[in-house]
Amino acid sequence: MRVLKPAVSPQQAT
Amino acid sequence: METKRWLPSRYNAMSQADNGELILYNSYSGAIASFTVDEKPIVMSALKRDGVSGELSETLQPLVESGFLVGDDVDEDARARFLHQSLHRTDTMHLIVMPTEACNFRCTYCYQTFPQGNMKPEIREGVKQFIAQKGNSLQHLSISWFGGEPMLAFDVIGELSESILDTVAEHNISYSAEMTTNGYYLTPDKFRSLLSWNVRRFMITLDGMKEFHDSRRFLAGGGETFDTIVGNLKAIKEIDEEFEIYIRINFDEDNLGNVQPFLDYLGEQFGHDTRFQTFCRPVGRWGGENDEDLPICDHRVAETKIWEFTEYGLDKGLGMSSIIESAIMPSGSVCYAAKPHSFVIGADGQLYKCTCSFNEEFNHVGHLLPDGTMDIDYDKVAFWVTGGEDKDTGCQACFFRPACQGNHCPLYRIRTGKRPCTFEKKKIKQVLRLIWKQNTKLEDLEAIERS
Repeated sequence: MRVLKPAVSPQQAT
Repeated sequence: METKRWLPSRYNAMSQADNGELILYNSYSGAIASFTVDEKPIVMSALKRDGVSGELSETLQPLVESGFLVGDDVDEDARARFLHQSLHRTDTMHLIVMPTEACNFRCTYCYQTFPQGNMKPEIREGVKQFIAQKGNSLQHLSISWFGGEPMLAFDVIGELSESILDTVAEHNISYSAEMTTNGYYLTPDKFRSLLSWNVRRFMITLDGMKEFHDSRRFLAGGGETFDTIVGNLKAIKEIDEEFEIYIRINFDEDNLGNVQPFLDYLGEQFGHDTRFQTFCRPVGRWGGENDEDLPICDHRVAETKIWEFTEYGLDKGLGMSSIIESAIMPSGSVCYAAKPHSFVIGADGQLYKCTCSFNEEFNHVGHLLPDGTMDIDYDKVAFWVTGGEDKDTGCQACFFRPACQGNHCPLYRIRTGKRPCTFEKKKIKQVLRLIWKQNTKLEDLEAIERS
């Protein structure tokens, strides 16, 4: 798997 | 012991890259990843409706970490509702400030009426006081300079920025600012001043080559604008600092055939400078006096052309606006009008939620007072903030729900009663393929530079 964009938490998302 | 079962997230979307790789995206986690042709069948099998049980292989474990696979005990509906609630955190604020409501342009499709000039001194004081008083509770502040044409009130922007910079320094607040400008007065000297005030993102519209642009975006009283704007952009390109300029191209039936030749030209002038990015959008009937006469594209044509033009630009060395990738992130397509801690401040202190319906009574949500207090009609604010996914079963079942929460354009929902869906969602496979393509091109470029 090549990560283009890492996962974020709901906190980081806002 | 019961074996663990993993199911595909309902917020997944998938696409295929130009080289056959699988691209996966999840709108709740914001993860985007690609898988080789060898990994693809293993991943596709795990993403079937029944999911996968037991110990996960090395190939599949990262799918859990990225949110593509979720435990069968996870309530994904609750995840989306919680994400929506997280917009109510009180330590972030987004203000759209109109330092003037006047404009030196009279674009054919504009919806604004330019009722007044520069922000009054007592309102400027109110803005400074409001932000200073919020200083203790804020971690993040973003300001969008809007208008009218904000560069007509350059001194107001400077005065407010100096005060804001003092406040954010004193309270250690992360601060970002951007500007929507026609670019006519954006000389390199003024641009440097704006950078010093932390304004680092600019939306500037060019509607095609000179004759096309000048026939749609001309000075009040007539007069061409293309050469001046492009001259400014060329001079700005020579500035060795970090910024992003989104060159917005508004297209309709009149200039549809000129967009690609224009992208050729932009590629020659600004290609391979990642600070210059394209943003293609169809002209809409946004509420201006010429609405009925605008040759707008059929919506199916428009929704296809956006990405056709974006890819054409990419092939000419022009990246697509970072706005697009951010729009598919969790909460990334929720309009500021639907966010509780976002306000538009007019030059007279009138407060709004939406920037596209200034004359609607339901959008007049309060006033900013000189002492920095906001006199707010919370019933009107609630009207903008509480619509969306919670009343729309279609939105609740959608893979894109965490990104837009049914609130991509509350105004559209208010006016039409229909569900507002984003251009990105409608063509998500195309968008993911273009993000993959842009990433791959950038990596190739970096590899060339290293060698």
